[in-house]
Amino acid sequence: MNSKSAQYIRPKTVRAGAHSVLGFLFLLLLSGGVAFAHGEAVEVSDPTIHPVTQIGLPEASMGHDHSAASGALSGATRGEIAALIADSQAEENFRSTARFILLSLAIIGLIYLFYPRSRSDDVVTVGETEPIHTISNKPFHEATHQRQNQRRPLGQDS
Amino acid sequence: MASLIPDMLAKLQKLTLELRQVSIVLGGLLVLFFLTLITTGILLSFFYNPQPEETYRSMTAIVDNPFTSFIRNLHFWTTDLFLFTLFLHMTRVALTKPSGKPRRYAWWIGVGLFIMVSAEMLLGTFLRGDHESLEAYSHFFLGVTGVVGGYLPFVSVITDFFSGHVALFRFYIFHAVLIPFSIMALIVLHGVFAPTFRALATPFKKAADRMALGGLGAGTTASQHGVFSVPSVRKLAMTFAAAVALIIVLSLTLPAPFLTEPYAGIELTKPPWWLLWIYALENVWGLTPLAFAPPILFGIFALIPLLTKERQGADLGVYLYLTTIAVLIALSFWAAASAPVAHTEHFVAEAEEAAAHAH
Repeated sequence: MNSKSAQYIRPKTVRAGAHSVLGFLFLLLLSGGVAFAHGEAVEVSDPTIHPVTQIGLPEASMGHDHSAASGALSGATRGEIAALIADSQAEENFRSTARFILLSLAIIGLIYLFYPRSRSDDVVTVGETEPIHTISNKPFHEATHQRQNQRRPLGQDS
Repeated sequence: MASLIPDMLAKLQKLTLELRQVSIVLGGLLVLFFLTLITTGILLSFFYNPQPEETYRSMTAIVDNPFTSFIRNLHFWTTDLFLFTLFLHMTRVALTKPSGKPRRYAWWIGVGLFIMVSAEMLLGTFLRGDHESLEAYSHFFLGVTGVVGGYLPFVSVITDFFSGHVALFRFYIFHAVLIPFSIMALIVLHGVFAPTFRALATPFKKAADRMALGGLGAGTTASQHGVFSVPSVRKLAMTFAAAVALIIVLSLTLPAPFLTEPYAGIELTKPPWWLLWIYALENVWGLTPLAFAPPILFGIFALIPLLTKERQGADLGVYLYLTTIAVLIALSFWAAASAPVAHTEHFVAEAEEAAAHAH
């Protein structure tokens, strides 16, 4: 490491000022902006923009191309499409309700477990139920413990 | 008989302790779900075609093939469990109070993560290429141009960027590359500040340090048993294993929804469960809440650490969080029970009328 040939691997302090970060972002946005200003990378053919859906602001155009609804469904009535999706919609409704019942129960459970009571003895450690010989690290404390919020030097908690 | 009640009480106490410990590793569980989603997403991307004319056909092929269908179901149910766990993780942190600088920063970065995850989920819905996908896209488009555009005209740049033939491909790039990378970056930043995340990562850091210093062999008990001898890591691994088993069962028994081909101008479906609360608001006020409700929700979440005091007992932050969640769930129940309502059709009808007048 002391020889001149190894000087290139000497540790160096990398300095990255705010101006370099902002400059990088500027270049990034500039390149994207230039590409955008030149319009679509892919030529858009006429049928892909649907005039009936040009709504909202001037020049704002709408549509995945598949909104053209080509093929078997062209000309289908509202009732016909509703019939096609009725079963899966009913099932989704049921699933959604079940999910929210489960989510509500889980949140109620969490409130029971963690609701911040005005006591000082509700500190729990992950290692409490484990045999001592398996605990190789300091147990981590539940985050209610105020020690979690104290500033510690880097590496002290490892 | 006399010892039965104390026994039961002891078991209940042990169960409570177990559940508390599991609740503390939910953040780690989210990271593992995220990795699962990346894996299944990569597998799906081999078969998905974002070229609009081919999207629905490629999705039909994915659904029809048993293997790709299973992968898609895994992706879908992992997403569901991811969101479910996210809500629980947020609730646990809100109840254990994000006070003090590190935990406040962790919370705010977490809100950023929540926003990115919401965007990711929405884009995932757009990519399905079925009728619900088109309705979701119509809501996005009309919400941005019709509502937000009324206040901030320059937003048409966004909708123009996501319009036309390349729209799906651009959504795909955002869904598969840009947002996942942003989420990963935010997870790292989140981990710098979140205390339980640091604690969960510590055993891995120690193992990595030992490897870097010349092998896992010498010395401590932990090095003999590896990271899985650490209770928190073992708890996380067991919870994840149980979750994966559940996801596999759900994927085999309940396929992810896939509707008919998209049909423009007709609105018949309800959004996915995690958007139902906005749907309920739309039932009352039309499309307007689409533009205002999400920022208000994220704003409320961002406010919580500022109302949280570094002392024991519940405070305004806890009350605000629980009230918000209760309102969200109540609105979602209401929306799930209500009949489907069309929110975008009249926009399209008005546009058609305007086009007819112009001609």
